[in-house]
Amino acid sequence: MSWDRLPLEIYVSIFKNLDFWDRKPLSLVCRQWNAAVYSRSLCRNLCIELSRGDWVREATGRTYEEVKLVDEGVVQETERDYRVVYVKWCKESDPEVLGSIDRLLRELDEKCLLEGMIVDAPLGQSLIEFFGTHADLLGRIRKLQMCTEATENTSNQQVMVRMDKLEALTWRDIVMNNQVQIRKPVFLVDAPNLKSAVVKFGDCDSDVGVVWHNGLMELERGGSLKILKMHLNGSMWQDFFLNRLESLEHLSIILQKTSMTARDWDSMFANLPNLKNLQIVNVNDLILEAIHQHCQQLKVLRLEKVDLTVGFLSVDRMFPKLEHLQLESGNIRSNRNLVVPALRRLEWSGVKNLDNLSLSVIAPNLRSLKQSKYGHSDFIVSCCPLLEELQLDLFASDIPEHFFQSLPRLRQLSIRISSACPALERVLPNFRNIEEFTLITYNAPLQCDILLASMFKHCERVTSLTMCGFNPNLELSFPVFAQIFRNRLLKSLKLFGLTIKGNSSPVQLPPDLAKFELRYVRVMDVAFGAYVFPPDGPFQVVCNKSDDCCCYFSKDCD
Amino acid sequence: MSTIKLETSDGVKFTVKTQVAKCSGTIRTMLEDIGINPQDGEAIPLSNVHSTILQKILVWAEHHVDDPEPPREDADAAKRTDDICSWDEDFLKVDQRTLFDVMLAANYLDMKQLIAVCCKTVANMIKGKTADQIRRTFNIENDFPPGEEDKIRLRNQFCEERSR
Repeated sequence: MSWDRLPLEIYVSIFKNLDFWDRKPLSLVCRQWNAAVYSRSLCRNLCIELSRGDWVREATGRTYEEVKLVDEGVVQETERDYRVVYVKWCKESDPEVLGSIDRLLRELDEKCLLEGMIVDAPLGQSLIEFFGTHADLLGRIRKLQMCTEATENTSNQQVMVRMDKLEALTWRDIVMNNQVQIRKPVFLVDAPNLKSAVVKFGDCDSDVGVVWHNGLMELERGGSLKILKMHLNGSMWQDFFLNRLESLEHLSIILQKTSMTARDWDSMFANLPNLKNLQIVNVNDLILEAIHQHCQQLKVLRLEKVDLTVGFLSVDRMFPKLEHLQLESGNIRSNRNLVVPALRRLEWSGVKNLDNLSLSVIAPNLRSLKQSKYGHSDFIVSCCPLLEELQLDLFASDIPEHFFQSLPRLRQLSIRISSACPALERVLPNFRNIEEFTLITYNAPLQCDILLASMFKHCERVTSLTMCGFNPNLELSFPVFAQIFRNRLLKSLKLFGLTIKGNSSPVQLPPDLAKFELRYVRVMDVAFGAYVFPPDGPFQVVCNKSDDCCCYFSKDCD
Repeated sequence: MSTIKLETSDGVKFTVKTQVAKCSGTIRTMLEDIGINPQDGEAIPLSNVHSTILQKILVWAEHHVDDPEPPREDADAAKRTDDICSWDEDFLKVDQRTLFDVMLAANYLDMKQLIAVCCKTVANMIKGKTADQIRRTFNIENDFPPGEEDKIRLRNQFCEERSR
């Protein structure tokens, strides 16, 4: 037996269970392990950092970023199969640092088959020169990730960067303050084989904390582009969207309020005939009108921060191929029909209908519905006999009308209640065939006896029950609680935040119960609490006790 | 129910349900593709597996024979080593030597699920240990030439894994 002479595939199977940071120290175990840790099958994208930023704090308390270069020997006698290179410099970096980066990069390029490059650098002459110096390498890589920062107004210079092999581009622009004006993009990227592009302002995916600007980069063409995700501001990229983008299937836009007119949107979406998946943040009637007109192939439509109050939904509308519709936060105004014959999944959260009547969603093929209801009549799904999965968030006590129909195919029911006490037992008879039931309450004092009694009466197929009460606990009386255990089909039972009142007695666990978790369950009748559960079941009990929780014994419970 | 015979490296013959034996990709290929006929009564030789280890592996296969096909592995999925089922966990509470032999035999027999749990168990033994502790745990000799470790440390400093 020798752990240092295993076949490579076994090392790979072992090490792949560890993340990169846990794997690194293993390279110091022995030569065989060192070779295995950095083998291509474990690290497809092994990256060498030629330079790196380290934050230094002076005695005065001032902090600044210092660029540290890799040891030359590491590049000279490298034995690792690096495929990605990372370079970084700062605005303050002196020319020597830049010269060293250039030299190290050329040396590395001779030794390794580089496929990707990550550049983190300030916008300025140094970056323009870097692109010029390494034009040859840039012409060979498949992936480029840029992070560039503008701290002052950019020049009028415009640089064309040609990358013939580039397939994936991520470009992150950071503009440090609102005073920076960008009149036109500094970089024009010409990448005839580009498949995927991500253009972001700032660090996060959303638009929170973003300084909006016109973009430091523009794509020269997009004929091969399949996926495009971007922050889109004002008049940026207008020429680009005048191109026909035949291949584009997935578009995701976080939009800043723009001056684009109905005609602009119309000509933009007319050029995207094959769009299948579209996400827009900040969407209005004009945009949706253009989408509806031109994007006939659309399967997934996700709209956030919607304002559809002045037109689009004032007549009946139909999206023939739409399978997944998500609407999140904002307002609509409509009492018409939305016909979505192919729709399988609908997510509706925080979107308010300003009309007195409801929007009628006609989706006979709906399988999954997620709805947050704030207490106004947003929409109704008139008939959805195939519904299998329902997640309902209630912030008011009235239950949406469309759940008072029989839903024979419903298997998964998940209800979250906040600051409300709806009479859920009224709808349970419609959910006869559910197998999984989850109930979560926040700030909602809920006595669950009637609800559970209704569930025991009407729903006989429940195999998984989860109940959580946060501030305050859910309340159950012991006889109803004990009835849970009489369900011999139960496979999974999770109870969090539950207060059980009344005289208790021992219960028997269902035979197939594989998952059984209790956290913060208080049995008020402490005298008998100790004997409620059998001490050593074959199941795993996970238990976090609050101070006054009953104590009972189990090998996994401390 | 059909059975087949297997013969281990130390000459011990096992009679095994065909369905259980087919947990091994190697045996499955022999039976289905190469067309070895189990009715002949001749034992399939497993020259790399000792009888004590095969016995153990058959216990595992018997228990997991009805498991569904595992889902295709997603390279980017979160890496977990805490999802070993309790039966397997008990099964692999063995000395290091046995764990090692079971893992190698599972590799030879091409039993993906068994390899996976063995490797997860080993990964759990590795996690959180320094190189020195690992060498002691697994009795591995430090075979680096002088100075090499320092070079590796330097390389490690500027080495990263990038998903893009």
